[in-house]
Amino acid sequence: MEDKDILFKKIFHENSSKIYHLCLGYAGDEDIANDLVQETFIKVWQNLEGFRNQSQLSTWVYRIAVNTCLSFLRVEKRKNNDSLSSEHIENLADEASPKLDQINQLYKSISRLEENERIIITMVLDEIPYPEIAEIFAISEGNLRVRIHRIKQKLTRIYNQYEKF
Amino acid sequence: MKNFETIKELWKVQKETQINYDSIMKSVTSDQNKYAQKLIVQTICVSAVLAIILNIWILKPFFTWTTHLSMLVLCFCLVYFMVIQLCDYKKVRQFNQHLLKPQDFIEYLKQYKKGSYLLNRRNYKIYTFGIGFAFLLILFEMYFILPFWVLLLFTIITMGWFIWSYLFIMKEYIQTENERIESMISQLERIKNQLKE
Repeated sequence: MEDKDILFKKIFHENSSKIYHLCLGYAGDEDIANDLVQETFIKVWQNLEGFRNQSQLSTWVYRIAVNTCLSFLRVEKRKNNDSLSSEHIENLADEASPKLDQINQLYKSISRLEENERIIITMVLDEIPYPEIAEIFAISEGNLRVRIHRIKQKLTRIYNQYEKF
Repeated sequence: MKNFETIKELWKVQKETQINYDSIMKSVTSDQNKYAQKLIVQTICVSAVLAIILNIWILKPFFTWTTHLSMLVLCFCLVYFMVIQLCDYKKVRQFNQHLLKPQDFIEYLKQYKKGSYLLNRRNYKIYTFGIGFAFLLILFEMYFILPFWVLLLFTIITMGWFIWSYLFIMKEYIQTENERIESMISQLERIKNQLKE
């Protein structure tokens, strides 16, 4: 039990920031992102004994986080999904510094991407190695590279569109 | 105009999560407690109702076999309800599913949501039918005991309640649930298509 505690603490400290970025990029809302982080680590704790080193620990944690995000469905808010994220991010911008304003604009641009694109790009921005991302999504590295290239172009285009206004 | 590398630089100035290690551990404990508490409360309630029914069944002298059958059906319905709840909890707590590949996980979720929706509807129908059937059987005994107009009133109110529940409350519930599940499944389908190679 004590070993589990120590291991879990280590996993949490090493991965919580990146998992938060992933969840925030996916949900576009700080509260929801915090909830998703919490849910992810609860599942990590509950599955820790079943972890069998078939993959890297971080890959394993990411897989749980990705599945937690993908299974998060905003059924009732669906109609206002994009406007909700954008609105929330705009409110954050009012309170923040100019630098954070740009960060919020970046999150706003990410929220315009498709769900899987949001997750992949936040991993790229957090500099997760490509083979690891490919393993998390269970796709070939070649395929991932093509996707990332497309997503980068898309995100840059959306971000610059926002900056014009 | 910014290129992707410039955008990437922005990423380094980031907010951090407000979740800390202690709050996760608190959640784990409270989640386990809530689950255990819910089970205990449900078990106590069902056991209490079951005890009352058994008590009536043993202590009250019934004249017709239909009432005995009715008591048996009522007990069965309560136990059935309890077993369904337990199975539901067990299914929800199959956490190892979260380790599947994302595309397999989405497929699993889609099937799970569809399956549990159909199963719950079927279970609810069996439960309602059982309770309705038990009431119907009790009416035979009441026919010999109660004055006719009281029996008639009781029958009308009971039947009225069942018809109202089945045709209005349940219909509306099914419709709302149907829309919710359809929306969930279409979203899951959309996400699954995004994950295709």
